[in-house]
Amino acid sequence: MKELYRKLFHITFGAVIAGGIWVLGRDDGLAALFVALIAGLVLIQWKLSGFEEKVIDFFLSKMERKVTIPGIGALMFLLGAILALSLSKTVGFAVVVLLVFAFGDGASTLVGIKGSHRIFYNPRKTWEGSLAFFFTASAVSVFFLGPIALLLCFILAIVESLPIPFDDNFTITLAGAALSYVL
Amino acid sequence: MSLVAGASSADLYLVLACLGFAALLFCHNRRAIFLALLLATPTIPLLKNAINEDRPCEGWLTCPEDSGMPSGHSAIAFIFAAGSLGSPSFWFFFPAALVVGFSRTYWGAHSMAQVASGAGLGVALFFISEELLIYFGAIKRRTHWKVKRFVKKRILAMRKAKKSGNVMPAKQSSRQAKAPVVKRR
Repeated sequence: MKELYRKLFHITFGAVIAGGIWVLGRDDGLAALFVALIAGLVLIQWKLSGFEEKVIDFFLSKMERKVTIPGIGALMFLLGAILALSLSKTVGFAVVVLLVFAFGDGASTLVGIKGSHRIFYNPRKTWEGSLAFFFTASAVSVFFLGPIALLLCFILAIVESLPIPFDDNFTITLAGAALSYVL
Repeated sequence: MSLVAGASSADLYLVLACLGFAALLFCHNRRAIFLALLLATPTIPLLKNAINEDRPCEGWLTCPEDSGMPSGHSAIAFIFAAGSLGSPSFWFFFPAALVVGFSRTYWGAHSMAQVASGAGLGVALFFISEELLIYFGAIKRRTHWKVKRFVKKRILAMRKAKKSGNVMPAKQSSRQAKAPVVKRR
């Protein structure tokens, strides 16, 4: 249940950030994300110092995995958005990468935890999860990019399934930004 | 004001070097900070060449010739800020990183977007280095934040008990309190 709330928040958060960037543009979008990063770092520091606030505690108890730093998931998403926006060739491509990541990663986790067919190079992931990533992300991004979105989502689904020790927020957004120069 | 106007990029590097020295002295994540700095050294120039975005260069007498995206100064300053997260030294490194970032926009060496990008890159590089060190077994994963806070509270309670003369921690003293009752019976 916690994972469902978490991924629903992940999708909503991603869609809101992508929409905000689409409206604000690159420079103002990056400035807004910078303000959010500052606020996020201060909130995490307050939480680590013993600060208690009912609303934040409610969200953490409902959505946070067993992690070493409170709110690290949201912070990683913000960092991924900053990297995608600053490294992508165009704002439109950065928005698509964020939407692919938000919807694809959310769907892959929700479907993947029910799946039983393990991927041979990464036993922590399942084929069902990767397929869910591909189909959901394609359905969202095909409206923006056309048929090339299928190739983008296929490559990003492979990247998502790789056994890389870094957070998905970095790997997918960085790979997406790199693909903006190739596709 | 004249001091600010006369400051050059080299002076800022001196400030960053001092910040780095302080970080290596006071931060508990020294290894991750050091690795993040090592990773940042080739990454930032590579990204500057790849993105190739001009600097605003307004009111800056000696504007650097390289591209502006992302800001290297703010990336390095935010590596220290992220490295000190969870320790009291954060309240020194974080404002310092903000001052470094905003001074770059104030002097016209970078736009706000370039500073934001540098800050994001710096924090991301720190967490990537931390994950790399954990993966290769160089450092242990941090304790869960709730457990850490619980342990901190226990230690503070024990210190308070020591100061007030009651040397035993709260749990043991309650056992002692039960013991005399048994003796009386």
